[in-house]
Amino acid sequence: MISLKGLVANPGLFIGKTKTIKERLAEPQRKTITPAEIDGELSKFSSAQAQSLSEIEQSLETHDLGDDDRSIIEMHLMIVNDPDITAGIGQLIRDERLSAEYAVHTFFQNIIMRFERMENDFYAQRLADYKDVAQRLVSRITGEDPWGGLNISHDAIIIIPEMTPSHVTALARLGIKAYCSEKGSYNSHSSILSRALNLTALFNVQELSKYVPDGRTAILDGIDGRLIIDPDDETLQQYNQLIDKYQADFTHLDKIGNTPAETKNGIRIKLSANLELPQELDILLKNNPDGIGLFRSEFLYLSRNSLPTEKEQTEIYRKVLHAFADQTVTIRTFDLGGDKLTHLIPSSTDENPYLGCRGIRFSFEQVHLFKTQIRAILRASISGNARIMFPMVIDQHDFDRARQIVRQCMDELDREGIPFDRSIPLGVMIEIPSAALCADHLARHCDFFSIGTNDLVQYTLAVDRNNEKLDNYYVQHHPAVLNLIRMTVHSARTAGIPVSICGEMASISEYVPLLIGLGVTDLSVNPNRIPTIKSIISKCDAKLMDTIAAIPRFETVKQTEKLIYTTLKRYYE
Amino acid sequence: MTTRSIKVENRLGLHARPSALLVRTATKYRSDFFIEHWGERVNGKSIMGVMMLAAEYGSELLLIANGADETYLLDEVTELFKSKFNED
Repeated sequence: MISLKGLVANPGLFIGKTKTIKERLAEPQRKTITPAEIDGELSKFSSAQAQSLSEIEQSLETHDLGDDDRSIIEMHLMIVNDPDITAGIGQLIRDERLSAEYAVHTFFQNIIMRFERMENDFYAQRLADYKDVAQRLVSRITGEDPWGGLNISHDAIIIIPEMTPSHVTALARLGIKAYCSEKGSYNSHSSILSRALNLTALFNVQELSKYVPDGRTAILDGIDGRLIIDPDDETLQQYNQLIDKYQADFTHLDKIGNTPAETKNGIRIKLSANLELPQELDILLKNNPDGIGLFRSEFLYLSRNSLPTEKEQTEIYRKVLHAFADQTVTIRTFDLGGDKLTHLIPSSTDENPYLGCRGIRFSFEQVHLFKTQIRAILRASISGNARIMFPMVIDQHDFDRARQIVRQCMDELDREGIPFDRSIPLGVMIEIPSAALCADHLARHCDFFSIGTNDLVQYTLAVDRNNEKLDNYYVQHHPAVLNLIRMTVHSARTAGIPVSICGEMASISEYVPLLIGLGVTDLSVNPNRIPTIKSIISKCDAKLMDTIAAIPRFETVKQTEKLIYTTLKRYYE
Repeated sequence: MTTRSIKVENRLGLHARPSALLVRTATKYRSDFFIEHWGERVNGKSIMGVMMLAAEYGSELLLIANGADETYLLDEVTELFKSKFNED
């Protein structure tokens, strides 16, 4: 029995058989041909081209793709069809007498090298397209398929060096439920897609391929973050029981799906969802959220090859607003630093990105990008109840400056005769301690608050949450954090504006009673957590509120831990 | 043969999206089409060729078309450059 640790990208429990997928095919070996074989190799190449074209065209038809995904696939078509590439490969076959697959390999290697040597990084992102097409052509010539002829049984646990978004969708189509990869991060596109398509996923499993032969019984524990290979009978039995319990919980949660979130003493809690990718919308709607509490708009800019236009953005916002006709959708303006967009706009990188030019600061620096987004949100605002939220605001001055830009956009739209919702609420993401400390003042100027706990914890405790060595320092229930949350909630209450919590804390079972006890009536959580959180909310009562209210100040971590893990335990267990 | 000089006016330069648009447009015509930049000449109907130019904002390019519909081709391509590939 071997147990390997990893990072849970999407939780779940799964028992199955390991199946390794080679991410990349072995490189073709140099092979020369005789003059008599030239015609045969040329026709192998052209039928690989034809086959690739029809496969790519088919995927354009069968998938409901966004403009950007579509443009990536269209680029692949153009590369397969490229007259110079076709001629160049033909020449290598004819004049150099290379086999078809080796000619393709050689030609594309050469292109990739030339792109890599370029001074500007225009195409750094596009290299993947050339690699993808080269791999496709080679595999159509040799008949080797990286997906092993797609003959993968449903109980497979896929083992792969690195997951790409196209792999994730391919796996989901094949009915696969679980996979492990050697690399990957929680916030990657593959990880987000895995959550959206509900594939249990474990990332960052060290030396995975070294330990995992094919066809072995394995347990993917996507709760504790472990892959157990060749489990003994006892372990297997334990996990079978766990899976039964997990499924029973799930059925129970399914039933409460349609009821509104309400505490035992009758306080209605607004339980909305965080949205990362528009593709997630359908899955998200199944969980019946009370609107979108945090629409992270960064995806519009990341993993893209061009900046999103006003029209494109308007369409996306409109679609989301339309899905929630009666409920609010809070759109956070893009929270990016220049480092994320070097392939699209000339920008400098900060020595210390978390304390650098990101969030609203970056929006002020790239004001045309910001205005495009604001105009798009305003144009879409007539389709529903939108709210605009600004990230990384440190004080009222930041907020005023952002509001000023919104007003400019409104004036422009007025002049152009384009309708929009003039009373669209403008709010602040409370994620920097200074904003929480000035919350009483800020609350008198803006229309709502939303507390982003991830960054609030990070900035309050000066801890990078991606730094594994500092895991012990990243304490979300630190008294300093809780006092800041309480202060913010109090200020919002006094000023009569709504306040919600949209950070990771709201999605973690143990913290929910505490947050409700602190007087928060608006939580925004990961969509698949809605049923669980709703069931916890239904256990919260007046006694809980009194218990928390009786604590004048949170003072030590020990104290808050005792509170959460002992006193409040019965509410979330 | 007809030639025309043109300047890249969209801020992001001839990156992937405009390159694709350019190739797609040129491919509709029967004339041969080439682009020259700093003395390097590429086939304007090849996405690989156009991307190899890596023409940034402000680059001066020479468009060369040769064939029965050469002026129509150049007219439509010029229009793309002038409209900044619908980007800015």
